[in-house]
Amino acid sequence: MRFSFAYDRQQLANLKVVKECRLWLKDGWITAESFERLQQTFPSACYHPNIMIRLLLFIATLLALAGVLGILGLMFHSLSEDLIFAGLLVYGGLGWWAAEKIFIGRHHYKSGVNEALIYHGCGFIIGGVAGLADGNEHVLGITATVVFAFAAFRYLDLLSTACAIGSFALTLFYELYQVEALRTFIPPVFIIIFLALYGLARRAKQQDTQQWWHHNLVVVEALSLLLVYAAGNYLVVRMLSEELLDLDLAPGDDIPLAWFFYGTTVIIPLVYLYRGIRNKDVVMLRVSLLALAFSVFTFKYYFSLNRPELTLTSAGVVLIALAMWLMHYLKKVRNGYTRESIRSSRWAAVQAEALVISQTLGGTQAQSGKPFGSGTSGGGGAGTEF
Amino acid sequence: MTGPQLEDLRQRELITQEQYEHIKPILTGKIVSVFYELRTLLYLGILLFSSGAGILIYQNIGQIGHVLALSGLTLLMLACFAYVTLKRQPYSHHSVKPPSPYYDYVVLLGCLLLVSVLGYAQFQFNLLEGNLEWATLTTAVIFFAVAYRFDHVGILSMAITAFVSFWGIRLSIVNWAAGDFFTSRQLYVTALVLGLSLTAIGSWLDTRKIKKHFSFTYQNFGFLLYFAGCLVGMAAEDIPYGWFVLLIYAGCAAAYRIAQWKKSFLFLLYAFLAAYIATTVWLGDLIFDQHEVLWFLYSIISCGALIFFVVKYRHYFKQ
Repeated sequence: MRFSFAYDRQQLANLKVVKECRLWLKDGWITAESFERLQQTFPSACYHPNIMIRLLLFIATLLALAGVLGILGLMFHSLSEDLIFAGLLVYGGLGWWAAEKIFIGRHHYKSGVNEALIYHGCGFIIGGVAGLADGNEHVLGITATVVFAFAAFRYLDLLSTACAIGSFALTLFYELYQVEALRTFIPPVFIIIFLALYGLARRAKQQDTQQWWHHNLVVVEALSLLLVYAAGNYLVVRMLSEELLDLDLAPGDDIPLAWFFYGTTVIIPLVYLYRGIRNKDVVMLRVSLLALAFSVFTFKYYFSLNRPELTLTSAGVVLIALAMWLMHYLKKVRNGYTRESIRSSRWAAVQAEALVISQTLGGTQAQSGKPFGSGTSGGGGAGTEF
Repeated sequence: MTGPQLEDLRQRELITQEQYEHIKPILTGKIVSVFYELRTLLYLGILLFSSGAGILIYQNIGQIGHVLALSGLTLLMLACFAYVTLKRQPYSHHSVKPPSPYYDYVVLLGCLLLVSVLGYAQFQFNLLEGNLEWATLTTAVIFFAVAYRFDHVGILSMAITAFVSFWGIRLSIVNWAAGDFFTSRQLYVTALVLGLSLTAIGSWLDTRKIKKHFSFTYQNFGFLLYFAGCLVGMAAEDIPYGWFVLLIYAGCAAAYRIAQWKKSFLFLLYAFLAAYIATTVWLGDLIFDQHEVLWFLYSIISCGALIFFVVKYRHYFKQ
């Protein structure tokens, strides 16, 4: 068989059908009898517990692994450094082996135990290789990218996918940064490479007709789009130029090609927004909203009127008005968009929303000394790191 | 699931033609819901506006005048409550669909403004001097009423938070993470009692089928308070901590029952963490302090056994 993901295809396919149908049942689209029949038609031996049990198993596995590590440490701590690093490598590999043979072999699919072993394994393999290479950054970056990408591909793991993209971006940045002449070209190179990666992810999504890697590819898409935007964002570019290229800007000075980055800061989110709405691409739509918010923040940061309270208030009014208008506009389905929640009975989402609201808005009671208890300003404080 | 797979389900008559036609456009992305996007926008808008307006009023207080500002806030609050009262649906023990998408947010805004008004009155005029806890209790009562009448889980969380803070406990995840859960150590008894009561009330209301979708909030706060109270009690060392270990085990039994009954495994996670910490402290004092190897063996065996148990008896933990 071709090298592919680690799980049993038939079992996983059945599990995915039943999982989807369970949501339909919860949303009231199908009846309980239909669901019962579907469940019988698509039996699955996969062990895929709910999120809380997963978390519990994840924590328990990590604690157990800490015990194993402690005992191994007591046994081998007197060995030479290189042997220890080699040992870490073997140990990480053994973790993966255990995940595959013991747990995936027993049809564990994202059970919490798997993830703990896989992440643990990733960490030790990367650490071992980096240690053997004397902490060489090139080796570290490339190993991390390859190991995470492998874990993402083989175990369909989303966190590994994000880590793979992250390590890839960091490695790319670091390698370009090493060559003096290439430093100024970091932003365009990032834009081109991650646009290409986005394109590849889209292609792969279409070729993956069974949607095995669907969610992984969505993560790749979203992160690529974000990185393309970040590479063209004036604030990010300027901050990084000042930090890393020792660019000393006198008041009134600007970074080279400033007009280009002003342009991209405005244009990229708008292009995302347009394409997102046009193609009904929810990933792009959400990324565009994030990007837009960060663009507004960028301009406020450099062209501030020093009246943050006015900005806050007016931004609030604009957002409320926009949201209310859209809710009104989308009362009926227009161009395929609706304001209604078509997946209505996501009980968990309602609870999470209530929690967020009560924690950010209503967390403080009438306490003396704080006139406006709910004064948390939630500005666009997104990270500027790559 | 893909389009062809759905087609296959229909051909095998696992779903009806009607169901197929309902699901197909959603699955293939012909219809896209922006429900959560719009709600996020609205929520962010309210967050920004209320913080900005707060600062604005505070800064210009000399010009506007405190009385005017306070009346403005009060009027706005009354307007919110008037709107939701006019548009309200009849009360029901069940979940009520809001009459408009922003209805819930108006309820929320009204309640937030109530907090602001009270806080403002206290800060500026010391109106509530010496009666602060009664103001908090009143807020809690109003919030409970609002939560039930207008069917709002978020307000219920706020009501419980206010009610608990009336007893001197500042309950919030933020405080908890900062290790500032109880302002004073003696409060753990209060926390235990409150935790028990909240869980009991939530469960009782659930059996009476009154607002079943609220039960989780009660039980969640209840268990958090109870287990946190026990753990703080253990650390306080006023009473031999063995008692608290026993209390935690009792709590675990309750959490296990409720988790099974409500299919809410979050409580099981709390229970596991509390019991694990308690047992570890206890065993540590009893046996392990001499040999570090025992610690490692303990973590391997205890966690290994737990994993084995959970996986082996998986059908107990099915949703």
